[in-house]
This record gives sequence, structure tokens and C-alpha cells, in this order.
Amino acid sequence: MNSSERSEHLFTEGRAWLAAGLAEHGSFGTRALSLDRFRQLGLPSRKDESWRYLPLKRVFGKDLAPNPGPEAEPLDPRLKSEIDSLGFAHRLVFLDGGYSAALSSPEALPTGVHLLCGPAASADAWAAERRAARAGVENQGLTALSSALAREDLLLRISSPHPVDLALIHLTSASGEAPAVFGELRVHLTAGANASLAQVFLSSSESRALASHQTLVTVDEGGSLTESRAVLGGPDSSLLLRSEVELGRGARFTGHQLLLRGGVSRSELQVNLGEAAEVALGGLALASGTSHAEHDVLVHHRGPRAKSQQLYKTIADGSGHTAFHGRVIVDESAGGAVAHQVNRNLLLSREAEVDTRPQLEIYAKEVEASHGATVGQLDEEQLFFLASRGIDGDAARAMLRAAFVEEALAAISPEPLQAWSRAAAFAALGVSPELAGVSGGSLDVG
Amino acid sequence: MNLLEIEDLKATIAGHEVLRGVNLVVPGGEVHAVMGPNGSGKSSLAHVLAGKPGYEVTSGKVRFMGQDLLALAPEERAWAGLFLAFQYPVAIPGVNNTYFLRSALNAHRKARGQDEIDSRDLLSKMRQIMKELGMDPKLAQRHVNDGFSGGEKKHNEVLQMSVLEPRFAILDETDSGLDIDALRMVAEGVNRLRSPERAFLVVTHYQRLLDYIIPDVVHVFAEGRIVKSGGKELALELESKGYGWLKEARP
Repeated sequence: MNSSERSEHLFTEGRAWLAAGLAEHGSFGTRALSLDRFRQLGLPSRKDESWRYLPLKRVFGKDLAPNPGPEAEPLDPRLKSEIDSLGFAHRLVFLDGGYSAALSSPEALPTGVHLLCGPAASADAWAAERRAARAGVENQGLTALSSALAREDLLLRISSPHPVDLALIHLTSASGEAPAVFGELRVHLTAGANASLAQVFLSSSESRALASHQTLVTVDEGGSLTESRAVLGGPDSSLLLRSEVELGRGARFTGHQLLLRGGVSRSELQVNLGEAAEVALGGLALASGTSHAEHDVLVHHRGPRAKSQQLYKTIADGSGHTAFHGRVIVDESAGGAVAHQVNRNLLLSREAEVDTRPQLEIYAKEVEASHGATVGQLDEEQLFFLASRGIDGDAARAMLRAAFVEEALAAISPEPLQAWSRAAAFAALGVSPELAGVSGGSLDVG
Repeated sequence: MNLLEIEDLKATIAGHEVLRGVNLVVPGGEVHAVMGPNGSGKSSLAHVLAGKPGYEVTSGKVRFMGQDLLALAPEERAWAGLFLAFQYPVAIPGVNNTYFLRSALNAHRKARGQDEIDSRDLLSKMRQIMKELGMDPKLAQRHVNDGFSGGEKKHNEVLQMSVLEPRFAILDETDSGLDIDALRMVAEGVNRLRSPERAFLVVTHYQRLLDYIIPDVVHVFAEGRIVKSGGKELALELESKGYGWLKEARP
């Protein structure tokens, strides 16, 4: 099959899946529009600027079977123990795109937090309005496909003015040669609400699945959201994440995305800033072996006097490939913007590859903007300095690798997610857990 | 006992000869100053002794406490007791200073077959050194030289030297760019370590530092070799006459 035949196949399979679940999907009408839109746009191709670095054949070049039925054995025990080891107080678990009450923590959600699933989410007027506004006019085929085939309508609404901590765990457990699972979660922070989300995306080590997860976030006026996400796939899995964040007047968003493990992982993030909104973004992508990990970030200043800053880091080792594509757009109406973007990349082997494409498009006057990207190896001056202090080659290189990722890890909250992400990152880099204190914290001479 | 013996040392960097036959013997307990104009090879000598990559030794011998120094890797030279205080210490963002010092000290201890140092012992040692030398204790919690002022970087070099307690320390223009208070602290850091088992090679362009670290011997470097040696009064002579007269004095 060529790419357009594959797209057509997915369309046909998807239509059958939708028809079979007709009763469950209150949003059938918009889903059908999205599926038609997918048929128009097709799967991502090299011509799409934002997809030019992804190994498309590896991800899409197989007979993808959308949303295979629930497994007889619901969960790989190793996945279960991995989510238990995260140790979150409040956790909501989603299995192949659908909410799993059995795996979620049994306690009631904090006051001011509501999770609506299935028909309840479909019936929500706020969500229905937003779904209708984008259905059929999506600008990417995969976005349209994911909206059409998301296993379940999901809406998380947070209206607590007091800070709320919540962990969302997305598991891919579908088995088979080439299952494709789709998830879509809407998150709505009402005016003045304040929340901190930890999101973890996990695939089992045997998984050959393609998982496409969309998180559609709206933060109303004066609201504040912090989100840390960690992505850990299996060697043969593909995890493709897309986040859209809409910030109302004076709203704030702090987001960190860590791509720590997995055959192919991609984190796509689009943030739209209204008047005086502020966003701080950070990310890390690690690729060793034959892995591919990439960040695709679009920060769009729409309202005046908004501020954005970004720090993205990647490390490519072995035959790994990392990519960073970062665009900042400042509309003509978005004067007084402050926009800074930094991308730093470490290339640790001859066979590894790093691609970086920072882009600034400024249409407004009076804008303070900067961007910079570096690609380098471990610094020889630093290595000599460490050697002259008795810290030899391997130990020095491990120390510099750990220090490089530490800047991205230190921003991750809450603490259990940070520690867990650090363990995963160090394991991926072949760095001893003993280096966990490299950036300090526990050492105090005062 | 002689800690360091250099015999007819010649070295190049990128094909350019920077050391052209250095002879120098430093016995334990002594401080030797190396002075000379910019570009005379003083810093190259410091780098070659520490094993900086890029230099090629083309002839000569260096014995350090009886060992062939040039056969050792930079870290092995450190384990053997050699220390270089850098003229331009590099920043290492992400590496906590205390963590770094503990790793360095433990690497030395491991090489000597000793157990790792207890973190509390290290911290109290650091606290004591920093207090004695009047350093800002916050230096210990920051990342290695990251965002440090020129003076703070030099303080940090002295702190590392004081914790590692080398047998032989080379100070490569540690005084450059320092105000008088920082200069005094560097000198105090050296003076408190002076002992019959230790020696220092103080590379400097100006005589000023030698008001505080009184050298036993002063060597004058020019065009890659020592052209004159003398007592501490030689430094004063250089200060008043400059380096120009050496050209005529050279054989």
C-alpha cells in the first residue's frame, strides 16, 4: 500500500469503528466531519514542514488497525507496577484513550475538579461548542483522525482557585501487529482556576502500537496551569502527542515535556497567547539506539503584551535522532510581546543526528525577541578541567551528561515525577543513579 | 627532596614551538615564581605540566616525585598530587560545586585506595576553609563557576586547592584581574598550605602577588625558556625595569 491507500484504509476502518459505537458517541456528527477532513488531508507526509524529520515509514508504513477492542487481560503487570511506582496521591488512568476507573485512585477528586467521560462529556455545552468549531477544519490529517477516532469523549474541568495537583496517566496496552490508538482529552480551567498536572504517557516494552494523544487545554482569564509531561514508550512503539493550549487574558501556562524513552516519540505543542498572557516552556528529548525523539513547538502571540520563553534540550547518542522545530509567531496585533527561545543539543556519537529549526515570524512592532540554537559535543575544556581535578574520562562524561539534562529535570513537578523522570533519563543515558545529586539540592555547606 | 625536576623540556602547540628547553628543579617546601612578558610561554609550561590536550612534548623529561609525569594522563597527575589553578577556569552549568568537590576528592581517595569521604566531614572542612579565607559560603551551593565573577572563579580555584591539598600546585596567573582583597585571599590560600612536603609554582605577570606570597626563587621566562633565576629581589628588579632589558642580558 502507498500512503494514500493507507489513508483510505484507515478512513474505511475508522468509519466502521465509528458506526459500531454509534450509541456511545454523542459527538458522532463532529467525529464524522473530522474523519472526512482526514480523508482530505491524509497521513502526514514529507511535504508537511512540521513532519519533515519524523521517520514516517516507520510510524505509518504498516497496516494500522484503529482502536482494537479491549484486551482480555487488561494490563501488563510491569506497566501496573510502573504506574504504582510513580506514587501519585490522585491519579486518573486512561487505557488506550479511554478512562479506567479500575486503575485510577479510588479517592474522590479534589473539590473543584470534575472528570466527564463519554456521553456526559459529549453533552457538555462548552465542550460541544469547541468541538464543533474545529471539526472539519483541522489543519493536519493526524489531528483530524485523532479527533474522529478518540476512544472516548473526555473533559477535565478545574474550577478551584486553590492549587490542585493531579496526575494523568495514559497507557498504551493494545497488542497486535500494528494497533493504532487514539485519545483526546479536553482540559478546561475556568477563570482564576489554578492547577498543576503531571501527565505520563507509557507504552509497554512489547508494544508495537502507534498512540496518538491530543490534549486540548483552555485556560480562561486569569487562570494558571502548570503541566509536566513525561513520555516513555517501548522500543517498537510510536507515541505522538499533540497539545493545544489556549490562554485567555492574563492567563499563565508553564509546560515541560520530557521525551525519555521509546522507538519514536513526538511532542507537538501549540500555545496561543491572549492579551498579557504568559507562557514558560521547557523540554528534553533523548534518543539513543535507533530511537527518534522530537519536539515541535508553535508559540503564537495573538494578543498584545504577552510573554513567552522556551528552553528545549536534546541528546542524541548511538544511532539516535533528535529534532527540534520551534516557531514563534507574533501577530501584528500582538505588540509589546516578549519572546525568547533557546535550543541546545548534544551530539554524542558519529552515527547520531540532530536537527534544529528555530523560526521567528514577527509582524508586530516593538517586540523583544531572541532565539538561539546550538549543537555540540561534550566540551573539551570542561573535560580537561574535570580531569585536572582527578575526575577521569568516563566519570567526567557521565557528569556532564547528567548536568545537561538536570536543567530540564529540575523544572519538573511534582517531586515524585521529577525523581521518576530522572531515573528514566539517567537509565537512557547510561548514567549512574549516583549522579542524581549532580546539580545540588541535598548538599548544603551553609 | 625534589618534588619536580624539569629537564630540557620542549613543546609545541599546533606546530608552534612554545617551550624551548626549560630546566627547573623545585624542592619540597619552596615557592618558585615564574615571571615574564605575555606570550613568553609561562602559561604553556603550566598547561604542559597539567597535561592539557593539544600540546605536544617534543623532547625533555619531567619527573614528579620520582615518577615520569609526562607518561601520566591528566587525572593521574592530579591523583599523584599535582594541581593547576587555571587562569580562566571554565564554567560547568548544572554541576553543583560541592558535588564536584566531593567527586574530585573521592576520585583522589579511590586512586590511593582510601574509602570515600563522609559528606559531613567534607562539608565541615569546606566550611572551615571558606570561613578562614573569608569566602562567600554560597559559592559552595552554586554551579561550578557558572555566572561567577572573575574574582569568584579564582576563589573557587583556591577552595579546590585547599580541599584537595596537592603536593605541588601551579597557579597560572591566578592574580590576573583581581582586586587587592581577592589577591590577599589567594595568597592566604597558598600560605596556609605551605609546608616542607609541598611546593608551589606561581606563574604571574606582575610582582604584586609576590608581596603576599614570598617566593624562595624567582625565574624569568622569555621566548619559551628560563633566562634568569634569582631570589625574591629579582621580582622587584623586574617591576622597576620591566622585561625589555632581558633581551640584551640574554646570552
